[in-house]
Amino acid sequence: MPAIELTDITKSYGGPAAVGGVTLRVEDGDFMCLLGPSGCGKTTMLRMLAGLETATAGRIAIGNRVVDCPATGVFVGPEKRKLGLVFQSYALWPHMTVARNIEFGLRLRKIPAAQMRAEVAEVMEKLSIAKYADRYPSQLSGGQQQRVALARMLAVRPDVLLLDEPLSNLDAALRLEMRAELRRIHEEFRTTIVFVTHDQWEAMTLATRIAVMKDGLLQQVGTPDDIYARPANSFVARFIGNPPINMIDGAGDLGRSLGGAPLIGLRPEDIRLGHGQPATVRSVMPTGGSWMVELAVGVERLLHSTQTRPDLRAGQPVLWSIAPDHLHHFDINGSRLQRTPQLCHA
Amino acid sequence: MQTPYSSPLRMAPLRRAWTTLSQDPTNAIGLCLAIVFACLILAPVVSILANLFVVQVGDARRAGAEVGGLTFYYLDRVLLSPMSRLLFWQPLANTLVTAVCAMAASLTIGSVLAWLLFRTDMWGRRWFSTALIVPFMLPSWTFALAWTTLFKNRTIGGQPGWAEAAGFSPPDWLSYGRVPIILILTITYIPMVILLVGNALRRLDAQLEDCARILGAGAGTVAWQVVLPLIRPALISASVLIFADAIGEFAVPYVLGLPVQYDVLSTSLYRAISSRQTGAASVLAGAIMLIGVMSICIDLYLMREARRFVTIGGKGAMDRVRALGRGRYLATGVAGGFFAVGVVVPLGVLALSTITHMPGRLDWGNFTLDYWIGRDLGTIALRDGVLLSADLWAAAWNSLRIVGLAALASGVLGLLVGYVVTRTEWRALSVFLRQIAFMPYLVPGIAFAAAYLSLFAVQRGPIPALYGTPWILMLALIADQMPFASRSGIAAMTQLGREPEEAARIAGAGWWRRMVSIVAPIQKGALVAGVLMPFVAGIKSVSLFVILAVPATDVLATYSLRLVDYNYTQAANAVVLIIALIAWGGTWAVQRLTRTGLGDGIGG
Repeated sequence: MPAIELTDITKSYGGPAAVGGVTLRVEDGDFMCLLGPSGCGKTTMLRMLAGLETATAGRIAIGNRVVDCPATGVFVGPEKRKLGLVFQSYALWPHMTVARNIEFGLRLRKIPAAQMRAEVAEVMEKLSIAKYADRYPSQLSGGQQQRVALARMLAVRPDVLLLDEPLSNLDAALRLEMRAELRRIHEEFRTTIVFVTHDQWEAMTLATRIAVMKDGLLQQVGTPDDIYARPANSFVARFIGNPPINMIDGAGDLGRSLGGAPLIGLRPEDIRLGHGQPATVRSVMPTGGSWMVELAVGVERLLHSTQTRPDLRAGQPVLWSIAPDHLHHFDINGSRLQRTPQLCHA
Repeated sequence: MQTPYSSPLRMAPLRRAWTTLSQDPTNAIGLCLAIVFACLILAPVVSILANLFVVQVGDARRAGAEVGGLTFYYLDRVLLSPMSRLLFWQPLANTLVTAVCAMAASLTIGSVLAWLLFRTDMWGRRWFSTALIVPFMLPSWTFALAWTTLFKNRTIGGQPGWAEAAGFSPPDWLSYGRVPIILILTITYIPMVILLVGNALRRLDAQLEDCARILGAGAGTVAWQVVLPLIRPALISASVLIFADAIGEFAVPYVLGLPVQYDVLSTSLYRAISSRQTGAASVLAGAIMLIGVMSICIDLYLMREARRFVTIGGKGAMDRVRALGRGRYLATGVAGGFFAVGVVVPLGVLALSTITHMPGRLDWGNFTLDYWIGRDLGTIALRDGVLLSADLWAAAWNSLRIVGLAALASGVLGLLVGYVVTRTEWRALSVFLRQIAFMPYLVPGIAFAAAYLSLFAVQRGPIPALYGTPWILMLALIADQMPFASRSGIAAMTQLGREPEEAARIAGAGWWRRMVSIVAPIQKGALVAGVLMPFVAGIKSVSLFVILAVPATDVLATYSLRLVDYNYTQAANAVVLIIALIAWGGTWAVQRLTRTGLGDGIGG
């Protein structure tokens, strides 16, 4: 049984559709990420899941219950969807202490006081915020506030937990810490988690499955490895990967030599130096532990990245190659071509 | 699956509308507000404008048409007839002259004071930044009464002014009419300029000035080419606020203009209403509204021009001040001078006048507390001191009851408007509410009062005739305060954002619970301020009450004006002091509660 099932979900605010017919299944226990650039409709999707926005057309089911379906007039408000949502801004209630914030949902469910205290204590313990119980949100750091926001939603044991940009407001050290924390929570509470982000690092490191979106449309759904290794189209290929993929026009000299698809993608780390075609080094840029080398191949520019220090200077001629199965071929519309490339200078 | 997705149901849209509505009544509340405002704001304005063209009772013969028929008689009489000069054109010219002069003078003086307060190392900046705002908290006619107490001459009866008592007989132009009206309006508007321009100056990044200096600009060039253009939006909104307020100002021209027949539009309107010329009153009210609308349109146009550039401010380096050197003495003197003229002298004069028998004589035997707490004063009416008179307490109770309830309603409605405007997904509803709540701003209080009179003097559908009851005052006050109440409500709700409430929804809280547990506690301060602000404004307000109040609904403001009419100088001054005290205390409380400057509440 899927935890969430979206069928042809559409949302429009009068103008062009913010979400244009998305069909997506989130399996029970998934750690699913909606990834895309800002304005792609991912946050609207999350808010429709939560019930904070209504769908214009399509159907949303959570568990075995339809919660939003304009065609039949069904709409279940967020109050009754039994899910959790952690806002990007955390949205802690400034006038309540940490403990009161976390209790709130349990109070509404009329849980006996003793049991409530025990559950609040447990969840605070698990998120190591027990010592802040009597503080107000304004007295906490960003990372602590996020833990409280998480605890507030976890306390009511939601079937599905929704997170809006969970790591983007944190500094580098905290991001690593919270990343581990979120994965631990996912395992410990065994909740289905759906989160949205525009940050591919956040998506790749956290999610078990990623749904890439652009302009309100789903581009590709798959595991992080899948999406990286076999991008469904040129948008996904460009969006995922750092440094970004090299895209070569198939009509040029280099493109023709690489197999002649309309658009050809080469990941910087798949390029090997030492033998193969000639190129000229334009610049070498250290990026801390790894290096980027910009190559000129005729009129084209290629980025190559490596983990070993390259002994190269600008202007120096080099030879380069790429394994044929590392080439990504796209048709004129940008869709991935599945055919195997016939010829390549390897 | 409960419902098959593939077969749309006929009742689906209705069912969906009901489920969304029952779970989130935002839109329903919005619709109710829209209806309420249509009755409270739109209907009176439409009604008075309609009266312009309809023959009123008693005018059938003069207009040459049946009562209720269409006519241009009123427009003709007010704008074109031989009476028009007296009825309309002269008052219009006077209104424009006083408004423009007061605006120019207060902008000039206020900007200088704002600069001294916020950008220089003048002594006592902190103290002055609150002290100089005090005139804003006092009703404008406090100053008018102080002026008459000082400069009244023999043109009108009653006790002489202090100047007269000291042997100097002031000429009419100094005692009454244009000069004192402009002067007093200037004093009352200067704090508004200080607040608005001061805010802009404080937000102005000093680095912008530094850049110009590094490039070789002198102080004058920096002021004219960098600072002035950047604070222009503040200057524009200050001038429009002042102008719009000045054209509706009633009490000051009433007190100071009447003795020399110096009429402005508002006093002319008052006279038309008290002599039951409903049609002429409609024309005058329409003219005042028209000027109000025009000034706002000019404001909108200029603001659009001025807002094309947005100041991208840095964070630090904002609070740098300019060392004045020896100019500090002068600067402090100027600020101190304004404090003396705007606060110490008027309040001092009023206070002294209430404890002296004869004006201006400060010998011991002349002092008395009779006017406050005396008994059997030997006068024809008001035989007891003000504090012992039943009339005062009745008026005070009326003020408190009427203004208090109206303020409470305005505060709550304002927050609700803010709630709906920031929450609803129906853009049309949000735009309509924002605009209709802002509409009374275009209609000066006295014209609004006239509009209420024309609509609610008789029974309308299910609404009984409200004239003579406290209800008409309350409704008019609520409507009059909606621009400010709705603005602060929208600001508060925008600042809160939707997320805290959405988090509560997700946690399972229904609408009522969210209001009680989340929104109301967070907005406590905003709500209290949203009630206190209209309360202070209502206590200070004269123009609404002077038209709509009857002896049974006498409030402090009308009570004191009547005492002025009867020439009970001491008693009138005492009542005004009481009003000033309430207004000042209320404003002070708002500032303490919200911990914000007043500048954030008005206009800017």
